[in-house]
Amino acid sequence: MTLAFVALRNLGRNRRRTLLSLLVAACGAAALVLTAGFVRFSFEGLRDAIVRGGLGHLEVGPADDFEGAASPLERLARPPLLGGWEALRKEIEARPHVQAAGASIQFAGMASHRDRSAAFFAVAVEPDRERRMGMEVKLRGGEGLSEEPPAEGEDQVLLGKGLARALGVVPGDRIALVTSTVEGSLDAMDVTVRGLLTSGLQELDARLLKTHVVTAQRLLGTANVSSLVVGLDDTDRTAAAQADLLPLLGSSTTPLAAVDWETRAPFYRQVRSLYAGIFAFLGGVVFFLVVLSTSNTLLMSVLERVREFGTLRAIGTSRGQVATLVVLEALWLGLLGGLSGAVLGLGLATLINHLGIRMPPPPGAADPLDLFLRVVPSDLAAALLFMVVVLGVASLVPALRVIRLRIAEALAHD
Amino acid sequence: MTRAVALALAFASASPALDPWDVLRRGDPGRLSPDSFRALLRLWRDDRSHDIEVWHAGRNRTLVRLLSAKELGKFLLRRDADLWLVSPRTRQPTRLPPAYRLYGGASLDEVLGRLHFEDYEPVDLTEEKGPDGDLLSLRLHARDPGSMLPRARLLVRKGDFRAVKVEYWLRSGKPATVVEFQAWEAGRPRRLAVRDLIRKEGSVTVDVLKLEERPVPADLFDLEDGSARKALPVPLAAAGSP
Amino acid sequence: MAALKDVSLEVRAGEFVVVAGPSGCGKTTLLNLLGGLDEADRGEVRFTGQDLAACPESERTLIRRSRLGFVFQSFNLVPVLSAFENVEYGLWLVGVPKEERKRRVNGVLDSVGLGDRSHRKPAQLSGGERQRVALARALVHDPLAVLADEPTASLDSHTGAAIVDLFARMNAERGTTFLLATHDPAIIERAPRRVHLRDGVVVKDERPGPS
Repeated sequence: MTLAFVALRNLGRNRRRTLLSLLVAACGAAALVLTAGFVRFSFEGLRDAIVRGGLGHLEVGPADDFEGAASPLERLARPPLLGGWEALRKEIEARPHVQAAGASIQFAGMASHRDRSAAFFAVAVEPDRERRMGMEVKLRGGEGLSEEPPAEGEDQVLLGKGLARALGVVPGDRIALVTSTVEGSLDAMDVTVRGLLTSGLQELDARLLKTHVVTAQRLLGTANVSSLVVGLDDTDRTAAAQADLLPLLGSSTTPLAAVDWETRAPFYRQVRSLYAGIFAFLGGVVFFLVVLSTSNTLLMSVLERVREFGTLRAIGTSRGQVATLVVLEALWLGLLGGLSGAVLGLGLATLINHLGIRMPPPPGAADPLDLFLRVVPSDLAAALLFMVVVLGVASLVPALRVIRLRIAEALAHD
Repeated sequence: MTRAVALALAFASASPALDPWDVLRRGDPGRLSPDSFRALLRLWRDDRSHDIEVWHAGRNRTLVRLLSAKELGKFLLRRDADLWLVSPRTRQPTRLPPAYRLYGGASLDEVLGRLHFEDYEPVDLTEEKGPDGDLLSLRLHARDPGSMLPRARLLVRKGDFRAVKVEYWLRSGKPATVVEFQAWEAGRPRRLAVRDLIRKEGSVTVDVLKLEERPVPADLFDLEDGSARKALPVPLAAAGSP
Repeated sequence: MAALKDVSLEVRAGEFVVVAGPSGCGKTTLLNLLGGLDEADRGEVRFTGQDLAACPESERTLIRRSRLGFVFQSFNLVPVLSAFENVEYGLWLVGVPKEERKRRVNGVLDSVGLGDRSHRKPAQLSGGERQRVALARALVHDPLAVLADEPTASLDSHTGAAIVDLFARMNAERGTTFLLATHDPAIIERAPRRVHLRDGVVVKDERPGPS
């Protein structure tokens, strides 16, 4: 015999009404589970697009380079300053969970073809290491860069679609690149357009150029690189990998830093905040809907049992105990409704995931993704807990009503 | 006639014996170079030097050969208003912005000296005292209304009209460049320092190692055929330079 | 209009008192005041010397829980609990351990003749059986007194008489004080002490002798 036991029994008093309340709670919980799954899917899609789109998990370079300039575009004006990078790369690639560490150079210049010229922002990479890191090159024509470093005179580039259009070139054409060397002088080089690519952002495609690190080094007149982009086998290991590299970076003569992808993609954090806000808003809506519909039901249930509450008070049940009884009934509803909702949400998510629904690509990605709602145990538990809390809140007004009952009046109630 | 009278009235503050046009003609450093010459210049910037060879034929033709070991084979070619980069790694010359600055520090015009007599007209002539003695300050306006540097000031020594300094301003009135003539030899500038006041990237010092007046072959300026350029021998003065 | 006016009443331990009177005479109000279920505007209600009016509600609750029992006209059992559980509830309130609860509940249900129906819910019991359960609930914690307001009003005369017999037996066996409010003449005439109320005033308080 406990109040919780009595409360549970009381749910069977009016089965139709109890089922309705359970349904409301279950639907609320299921909605939260599905939304959480969708939000996780979106975050992971965006995260993957960012990491596999070229940012990698970590970027290792001179600490000064990252001061006050998080994104690669902001560092275009700085010459490549990372020397001795081959040895550093070897050490990094020997670390566990590191797929590869690819050299990277960022630079800017002018591209020209016949009488047309256009400014470009270039990223020079090692295509073989990009492939090992699972990085995608979103080609829109032609072919990707060859993995072998190009021989002198055989340099290749990939152009953003907008840049190619501005220059009036197609894959196979030759263009000239002009850029400032690290000496402060100028140099120019004929290169072959091997393919066209897209970044997912139209504005960037109008300036984007991608080439091999060796080509950039030739053009800039340096053996240095700007940084090493490190790819891991698991994004969740980023923080651990970053910490693991600290002793190695600390032992270098030039201060080096390893910066994680999230720091270098403030856009991701902005999107996360936006989604969190939307999700919180949805949670608020569900909260109010469930509270409004169930508190009315709970109140009706209390009003129908005024005499019974009077009797309980008469035979020695305290005010707090009868109020607790009312709250416990609501908490049982929340628990059972939340559990049902969690199961319902999980079932619906499984069904949806098998439907193969195509979603438009997240910002920064180019290819659509199959919708896959990521339902994790913590989200199920949270939805359940949320429903328990919501129903608890819904029971406050009925509980207060019961506390205020006068015994004699309650006993005389019909 | 009206112009001469107006100018005479405007320049009442200067010595009545000095004609601004005459000061300009005599003090303009741009007029001191022959019409056609070959020169060897050494540019200093941030404790590093870069040698260049200049072939100049009249106003509209200038070829600059970069002589640093890493840069051999590269040329800057000015024809009329266009500036081109000729690189061994490109089949065709590549057009550059006319305001391109050599080694980030000085434009070709500044290195070679503008022809102020033809590009500018004097609007004011005053005297002032300087560490070099009595100086004449000649304010100039560009004849071309579209000029990037419409305002200038030429400072010359009063005694021999030797140029001390030239200052340039942008259309907005913002100071752009200062060229100081630090050393002279045989009546021509031997060393000058160019300061870029817009980018504030320090100064470039130009040493004129050698200047010989001579005819310049026209095929050096051929955009299509670079064989004459390729055939140029490497000057001894540059051999072994960084 | 006051439900009771100048009512002075003393009930001794072990007495069996019937409060009689027509509907609206103040019987229920009197029982509510005596049971600490309501508060008088003026006057005292002393239970074993303690002034109930001066006690806070929480203390009155404890008194009701451990020293009083109540039986109501409509039985007022909790419909979702079985007969056993309805009776057990009162013992649980006073903190009796589970095994002892079981023993005492079975004992009191036996004594009211419902030992074999203890698992049934009120809806599965007759009116008389439900009132027996209510009496068992009122007695299980050995209260000093049981207050019953119109306990037979919802029963037929035969069942009602059986219930009153049960009350009388419990009174004799346990020494529990019984206070019944009723307008049923058959019950009134059997009572060893009758307090007659009319319009909130005690018009007669008689002990006619054993019947």
